[in-house]
Amino acid sequence: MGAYHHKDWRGKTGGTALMQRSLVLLLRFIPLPVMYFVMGLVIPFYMIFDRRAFVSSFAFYKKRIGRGPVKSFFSVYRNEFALGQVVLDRFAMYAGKNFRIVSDDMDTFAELTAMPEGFLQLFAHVGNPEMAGYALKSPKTIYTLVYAGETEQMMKGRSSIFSKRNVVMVPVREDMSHIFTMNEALANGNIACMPADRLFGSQKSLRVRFFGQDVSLPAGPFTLAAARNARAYALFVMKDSMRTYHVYHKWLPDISKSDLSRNGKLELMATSFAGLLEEMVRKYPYQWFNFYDFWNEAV
Amino acid sequence: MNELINEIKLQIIDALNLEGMTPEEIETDAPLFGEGLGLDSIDVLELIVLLEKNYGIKLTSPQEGKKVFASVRTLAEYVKENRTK
Repeated sequence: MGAYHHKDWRGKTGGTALMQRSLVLLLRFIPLPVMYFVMGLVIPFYMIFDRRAFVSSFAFYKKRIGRGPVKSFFSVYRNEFALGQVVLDRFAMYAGKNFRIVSDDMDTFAELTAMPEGFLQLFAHVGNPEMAGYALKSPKTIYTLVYAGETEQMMKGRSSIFSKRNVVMVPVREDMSHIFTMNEALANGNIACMPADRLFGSQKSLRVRFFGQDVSLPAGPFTLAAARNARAYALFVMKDSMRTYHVYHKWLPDISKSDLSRNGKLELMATSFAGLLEEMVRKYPYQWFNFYDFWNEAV
Repeated sequence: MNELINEIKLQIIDALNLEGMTPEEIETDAPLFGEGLGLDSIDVLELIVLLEKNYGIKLTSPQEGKKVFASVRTLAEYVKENRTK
């Protein structure tokens, strides 16, 4: 069956179950800014000891964003700090803290969920897409693909909040049960939510231009949309300030009435997603969280 | 049965975009996944949708899917017994 996720990323939140449980407890009593401050002190150690993350992040700011070596070095710090913030925010949610969620197109989302057809919600490892699960109230059930290797604490935290929000988590498993679930979700007029930037599950990919160079995006999400003739949009949830997240819904081209070949439809959707993702990353350059050799350059 | 097997092979080639492949090159009893035709989870999705669109069969159980998608022959036998169109 082959690797079930990319060889270079772990696909799970760091820390043991006990550490994560302790963090939720701490966040009930300690203000979030204090936690951010402490986390900020630890980051230089991460920069020293997690070489792979440092190298990939440094290369991203230098080659893709076009910054000089010194600015790229400090950008890595800000990048890792931003990652620490979104992880802490997730645990803060589990601990019962609230965040302000703003969106320019929340009405559009409400109109969409009122339609009988199911659709795909595609996200990437930028910002904090999990926050959408807490913010978007939908009459349709949202089936979200999650990495099966997450700890019990992470799954418990998510479940306790998601269950109130009509969100069902679907772990990616080798028995391919997730494929059946996601297909049925769309067939029944619900929402299939999945990452469209990293290869996991199937290793089939589509080559698209991203930040000036070809990268591989997973074929799965786009194939599902094409096979079911379903609409898809990109969902980005970006951190605007300490307590505020900004939700963006960006439609991918409607392929349901297109005369393009199957491959043409896949290419059109993947290229569009890559373009929207690049636009978002350029707007929020510190919230790019693919800490591995995304461009396959063996940096 | 042979006619249905050939029809399914043609549909597999089309749905999975197996360009340049002929029905004769797909062994009827070889496993579809792993060592046989080498299909993976995305191909499962295409086969599920193929069954639904072409034969009116809704396959929802992964356990059943494992048996149905064991080979082209098991797939054809399942279609023969369960098709609604």
